[in-house]
Amino acid sequence: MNTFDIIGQSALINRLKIALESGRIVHSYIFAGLPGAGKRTLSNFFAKMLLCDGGSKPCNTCQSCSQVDSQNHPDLIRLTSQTKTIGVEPIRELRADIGIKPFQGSRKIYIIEKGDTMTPQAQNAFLKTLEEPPEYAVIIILADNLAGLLSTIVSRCQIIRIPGLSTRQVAEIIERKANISSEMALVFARLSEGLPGKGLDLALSQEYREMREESLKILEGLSKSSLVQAMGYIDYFLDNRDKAIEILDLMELWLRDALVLKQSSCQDIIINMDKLTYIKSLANNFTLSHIQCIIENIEDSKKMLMSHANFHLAIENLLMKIQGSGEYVRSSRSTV
Amino acid sequence: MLKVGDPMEYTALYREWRPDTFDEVVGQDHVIRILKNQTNSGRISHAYLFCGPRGTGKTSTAKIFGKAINCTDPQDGNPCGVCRVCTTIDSENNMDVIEIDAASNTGVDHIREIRDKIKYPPSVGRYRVYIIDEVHMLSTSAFNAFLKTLEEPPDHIVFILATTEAHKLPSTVLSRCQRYDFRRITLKVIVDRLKSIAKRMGIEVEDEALDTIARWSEGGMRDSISLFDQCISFCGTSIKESDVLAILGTAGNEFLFDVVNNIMKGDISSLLIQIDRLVEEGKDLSVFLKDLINHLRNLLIVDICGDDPSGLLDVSQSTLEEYRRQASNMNQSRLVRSIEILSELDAEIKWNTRPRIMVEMAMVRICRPQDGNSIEDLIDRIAILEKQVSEGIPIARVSDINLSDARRTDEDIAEIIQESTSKKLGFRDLDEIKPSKDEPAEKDKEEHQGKAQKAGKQEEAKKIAKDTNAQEATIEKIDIEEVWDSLLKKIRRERMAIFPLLRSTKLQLDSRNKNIVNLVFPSQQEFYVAAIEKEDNSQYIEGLLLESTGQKFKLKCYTEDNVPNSISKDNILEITDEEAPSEEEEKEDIVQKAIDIFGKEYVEVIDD
Amino acid sequence: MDYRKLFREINQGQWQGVYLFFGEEQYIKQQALDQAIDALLDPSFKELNYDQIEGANVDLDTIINACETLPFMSERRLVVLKDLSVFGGKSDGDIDEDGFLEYIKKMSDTTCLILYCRDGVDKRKKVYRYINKTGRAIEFKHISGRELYKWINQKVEEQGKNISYEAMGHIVDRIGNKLEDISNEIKKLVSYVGKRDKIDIQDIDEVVVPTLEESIFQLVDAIGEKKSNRALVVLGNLIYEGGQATPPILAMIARQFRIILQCKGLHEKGYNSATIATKLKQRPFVVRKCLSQGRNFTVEQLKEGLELCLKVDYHIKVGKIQDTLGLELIIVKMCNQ
Repeated sequence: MNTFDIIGQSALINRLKIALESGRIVHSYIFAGLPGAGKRTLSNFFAKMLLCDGGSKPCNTCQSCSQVDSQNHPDLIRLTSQTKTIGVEPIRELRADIGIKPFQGSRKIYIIEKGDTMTPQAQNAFLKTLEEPPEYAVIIILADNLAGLLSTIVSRCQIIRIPGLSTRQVAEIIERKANISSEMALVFARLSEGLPGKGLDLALSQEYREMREESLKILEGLSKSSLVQAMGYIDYFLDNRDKAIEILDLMELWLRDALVLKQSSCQDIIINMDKLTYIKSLANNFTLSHIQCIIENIEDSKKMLMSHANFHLAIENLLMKIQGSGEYVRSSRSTV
Repeated sequence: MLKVGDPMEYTALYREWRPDTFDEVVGQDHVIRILKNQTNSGRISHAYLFCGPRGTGKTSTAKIFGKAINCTDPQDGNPCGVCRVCTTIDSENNMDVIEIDAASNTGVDHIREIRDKIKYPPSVGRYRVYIIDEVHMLSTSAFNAFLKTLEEPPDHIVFILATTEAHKLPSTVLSRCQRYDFRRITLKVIVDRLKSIAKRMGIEVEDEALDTIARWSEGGMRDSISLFDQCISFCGTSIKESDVLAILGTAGNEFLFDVVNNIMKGDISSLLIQIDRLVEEGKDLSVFLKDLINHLRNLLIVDICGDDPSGLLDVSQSTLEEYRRQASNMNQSRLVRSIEILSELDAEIKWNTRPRIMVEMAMVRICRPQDGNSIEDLIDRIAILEKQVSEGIPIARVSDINLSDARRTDEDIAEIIQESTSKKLGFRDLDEIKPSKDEPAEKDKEEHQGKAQKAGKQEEAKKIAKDTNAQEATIEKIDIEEVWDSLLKKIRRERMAIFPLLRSTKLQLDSRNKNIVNLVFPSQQEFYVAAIEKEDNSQYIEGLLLESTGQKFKLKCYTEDNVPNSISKDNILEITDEEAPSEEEEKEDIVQKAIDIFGKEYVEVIDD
Repeated sequence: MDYRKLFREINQGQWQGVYLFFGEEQYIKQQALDQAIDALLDPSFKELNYDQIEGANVDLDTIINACETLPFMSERRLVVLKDLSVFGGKSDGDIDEDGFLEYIKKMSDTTCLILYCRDGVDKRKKVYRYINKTGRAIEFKHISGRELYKWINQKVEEQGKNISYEAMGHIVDRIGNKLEDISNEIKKLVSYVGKRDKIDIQDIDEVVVPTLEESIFQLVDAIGEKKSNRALVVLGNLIYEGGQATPPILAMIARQFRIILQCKGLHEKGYNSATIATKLKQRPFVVRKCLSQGRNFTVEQLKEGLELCLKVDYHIKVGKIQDTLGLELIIVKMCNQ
């Protein structure tokens, strides 16, 4: 991994470099950013910088750098978790381990992935260590959501925000790593809203492409169908229960694009740029008020699903509402 | 100066700049003065309570006080820093000024431990000082155990309790302590402090950058110094505002002013483009939201407090001027609405899968009050409409992409305003009109669609009103489908239960019998037919028809599958008006319209 | 018995038996106890003849033992029992009330027992009635009026300063009449003025933080007079300087609307302010104020105000709006009609 892989974060990396060069490194950091923003990549890079023995850090030639690259540097310890939350145990282990001096150099780095899923007990156990860490230690907590961390922890760390990238930058990353056209790379970049990890995942996922197509078809269908036909669309959702929220997200996106299209001068900010004609037709089939209303309904449905409401009922209800709007518009036209 | 080289520990800036004497503490003169005098006079209390927001100097002051009262050679109330006592307290061997973090030591046992130890005299000074931080975190039993000690502390013990949440302390604790309230530190004081630190360290920093840092910390000195520290770490000896914005993920003041301008203009396009820019630049949307809400709130304060908002708005003079300018041309109800809508979003946005869309939708909602139903939405709408009416702008707008947008309800309102002004009906303050409890108004069809679309300029409306007065016998042509549309709206309000059965139906005349009207249901809805054919339902519908057309009809129900041939293709009904509508009746018409839109409870007729 | 009589008796050294100290005024009550201890006990043997027992978890035997112990080289033994649960409303104490009463009736006459309650007592309890009959139940109520001002003045002079009548009033206005609080503030003021002799109103403004009650009164007053500017400033002080929490503030604002509404309603029915005061159990001064403020709102507006408070309270609790902002919106909406 070299600097070129970290497209778009040159400003951030530069800041870290300046800090390192002036010796202003603290003992605890929080790398905060949405999933797919690049927290892991950047924290890894930072760790490499901190451990590097060479001149311009990271030099990528010294032993330390190669060890980091091959993921077996003895003084870079990563805490990952397979479970939903991180309990007290792994933290206790960390505390026991942190007392041991580094093997190779002058620093020992801990990267805690998904740090915001630490239980309150785990976080409390962690506090002491954050307050008085050994001189050689640097702790990096990766967090999707700062709200998941106790304020007492946040106040003891330096927060490094991982900003989102521009569409162009994400597209560039996608193009390098996925074998797709540059037009489609742009689309997936837009869909990822600045998160390169996410953009890549979406671009490589056949399933996602299908969901895109299907969700659009469903929306089109709903704008023209009868009530009974509308209810029929539930089958797709039932077949893809675990992806329901993503599908709803996609539907929201199509509608959002239709809304944007209705506002003259805004074509540039359409997200699904590859389906402009379909979006135009959606814009024709729904009024602005309806789009607002439907998006609200979709949000409600998402909330309901996340609170384990009855899946069938929630989706069915949504389908009927969308169909109702479509029908309303059609019938209102016929009387004008 | 900045050190270069090996990985080594550097002292966090706020530690380096922590005040060592009372004179170095900023913004709390009212407290410092008392403590200094107490040090000098020796009239020391045994229990103190320091309250106030974070980063305002509570712990620092407590430590200084702890040193000062023990110091053998105080300098005008300040600890000298060089005597044996002062140096011991500063060192690792300090056993006389003890800091306890109540947040991590909430239990009774810790308190008991303290109780047991307090009988031992101090090691070097006259007093042993316990500083208990965030004391409100103690458990109830810990408090109770502590109370006894607070009541009768030994002479050589001094307790200094510190908290950001004084209201959480039991009154028994409060009354045993001398209470000191630490104030939020003003922007100016913070900026001045940062400037002096910058000077001493040889750092160049833009004024706007300092301003942004100070604002972000909300009156807490420690937070602003920490942030400044971070900026120095990441930017070196020259710090620009853009750097600070990048580190914080915030968009900056200028951008916010722009956004608010667009909100006031209702310019959705520009707002969408601005949001896109935020995302493209990798800014944090929830930070943006908070900043925007804060900005709007500041505008509100400026709008209301006009002359002297300084106590409530801690901003620089130039920013204050800009606020004034923006507030001078503003729709206050939209402002309040925006604050409410955005606040609601702010709470949810952290957990939302598509925050960008939510922000965009919130903007659309703010700019399109015609689709909302809260009072604020209505007030906002009326404000806009009244402005348009007075400017002679046609109400029925042509929408953007050749679609008839659901603006009909606005046209209703406009019509009512125009007609009532022409007929001299009093129109009570619309603040007090609440919407009917229907679903969004755009889903309802209005009653006199044709007329509404004609209702353009004010002159025209007056003309219609005059004409209506002058008319004598009229033959009105009514489209039965239109009538049915508006009746459906009524049915939905009055008999919700049967509405779903009727929503997809069509009403059609009968070519053979003028007194029959046919209700046609979609295919295979026999079940619905049966339900509607029940006596009270069909009678109800017939009653509605009578009311709105003046004619008695008999209702017959069919599904598409078994519709008779007698159904008329022509749906226009001719109704003869025997008498000209009197002024009274016309008044009633308008009132009825108002009632239909807003609901009976909310319409009151005031005869002038 | 009046506590002043008590002090006289103490100074004459005349007493024995059981006493009960209770009531809201902590400062004087504590003083009385301290004086009793000093007056009753020979300092040389104080440790041996004095027992202070926490009433919370004690059993009757412990009490009896303490009381039955003979004084050492002294006429009297003093036992102080703090916050015995038999006096409280709940009967979950470990002490059997009857047993206790039995005992104290025949307690050894070399012992003086002072029952010290921080709060009030349940005057229906048998123990209370017995002690009261013997004339030794002493209630320490808050002092007010001339007595209060005399007290404040004395305290200030004791510390070598002086204070004007208006300034004293200002202190009371800001923090009420609890002597504990006043005593603390006086100490601060005395330190604050340093070499100066006189404590004036500006000093009090700087040093004495108004109680929540006082500040909120100013706040709701401003709202009642539709002075949104002032209301916002007072609110700002409350929140940002005083660090007050928002729920009690909101409750008090709602309460103000409520009282104004009630006063207005009763007034429209024809009642005069004195009657209204009795009916609503409010001070006449409050009623007069609310009636006057009632002219600034219609009944509808007041009802809406209450509804608005409810709505904002709910929204704050579910996080739909930030708390200070919610209160500011209430002020803006209610004052700008």
